[in-house]
Amino acid sequence: MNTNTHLWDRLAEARERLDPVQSKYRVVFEDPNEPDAPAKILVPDPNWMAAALAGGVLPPIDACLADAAKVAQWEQEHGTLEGFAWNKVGGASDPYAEPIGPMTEEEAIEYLIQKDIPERVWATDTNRPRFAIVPVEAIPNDRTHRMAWRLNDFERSAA
Amino acid sequence: MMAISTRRIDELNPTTIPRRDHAFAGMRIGIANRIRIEQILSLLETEDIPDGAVTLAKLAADARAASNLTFDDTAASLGETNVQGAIDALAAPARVDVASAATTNIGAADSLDIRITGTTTITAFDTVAEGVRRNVLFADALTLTHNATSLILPGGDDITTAAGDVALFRSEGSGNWRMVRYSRADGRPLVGVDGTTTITRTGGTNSTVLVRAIAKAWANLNGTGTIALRDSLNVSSVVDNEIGNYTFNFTNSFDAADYSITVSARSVGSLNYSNIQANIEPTASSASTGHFASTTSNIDPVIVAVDMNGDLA
Repeated sequence: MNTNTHLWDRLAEARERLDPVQSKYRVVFEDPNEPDAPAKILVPDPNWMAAALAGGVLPPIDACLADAAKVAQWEQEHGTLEGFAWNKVGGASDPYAEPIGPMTEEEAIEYLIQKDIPERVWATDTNRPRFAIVPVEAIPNDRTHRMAWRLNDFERSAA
Repeated sequence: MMAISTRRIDELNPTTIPRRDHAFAGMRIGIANRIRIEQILSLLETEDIPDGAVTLAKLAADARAASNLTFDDTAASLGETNVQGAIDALAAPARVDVASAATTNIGAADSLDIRITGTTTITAFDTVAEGVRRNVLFADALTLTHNATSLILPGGDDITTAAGDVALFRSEGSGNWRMVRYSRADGRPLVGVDGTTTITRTGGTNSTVLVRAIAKAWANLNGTGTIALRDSLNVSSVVDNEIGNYTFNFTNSFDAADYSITVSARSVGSLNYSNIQANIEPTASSASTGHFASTTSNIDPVIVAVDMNGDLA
């Protein structure tokens, strides 16, 4: 019998126990499936970042990748995610599994890229990068031209 | 021995029960009273009785030795006597301090109101007659150890007190006590959600977790400027897709993509409506929202609030 605490419970307790941490990084990326779309900006959640830095809360990234592979397999087979449920693909990774230890902020960003950005963005060798980790100051505060943002606008400021 | 078992208080000899105004102020009001004489007696037995009422203490002691009868009457039979008023007046003695000990002597204390000092774990109280009650204020953090017979606590679990917590105990005789009420100084309930720990889990592993009605993920996002999450639960990141279009990623996935999503927003501009983003399908691990000034233009709200309810993976 697994005696660990459920992942959701760990998250809830961490939120009560830890001060949130606003990351000093953002991840700018372009999805090859949306060539005409502006660059997307991944913003880490402050409570998640606090949990990542503290350790003992988050599952191993391998578990996240295994889950993502199951979802991708379903989407490929059905052409849509509609109707997807974990019990149709053998279940999600065990939420009671042993959590991982503390990470640095940089390691946490790498974890987050693999978890929350499509694999086609970060796992494929291409002639030009499809994402960049940048300091938060590199993101314009003025969003007037947000729909024209492109990755190469940020590459010079990549962290 | 003086027998009062069948007599009403207003029939007692006024020379032996001085009707001091302050002690019996409430007796002039005729309202229904149904009380156990044990309750009266435990009050009368305190030593700190107003001058002139000492005879009552003797009376109470004699009566207790004689019987354990109940006083069951109404205001009509009591005439203008309000027994509760007398009880309240006689229950006035100041709170006394009692040091915590494995067996803490709250029954022998000289007041109904007791402050327990110290941090020694309490496993029992002293032996007094059944029905005796004590109001207890805890001055320090200590452990009350539950015992199904001798120290019965709500929920059947030990209680860790905090300074300022209050409790009411009732003796069940033979050294057995039951906690009737408990109120934490910080207002948290004794059993249930206490802010940091658990709600009773239902379902098995990997199935429904916690109470179905509570939100499993929520977030408050500032969609203007350099966008950032203000607060959240079970959200690992948000992706700023474009103006007025955000994807919330969850740390703990839902069991399917058919969970409930509630979206609301506030904007200083001309926000017209918000919804689940039409062209980005919700998944078990993410949901996207759209915010529109019109059917053809998006807008970045100052507040984007999302709330997801459903079963977790």
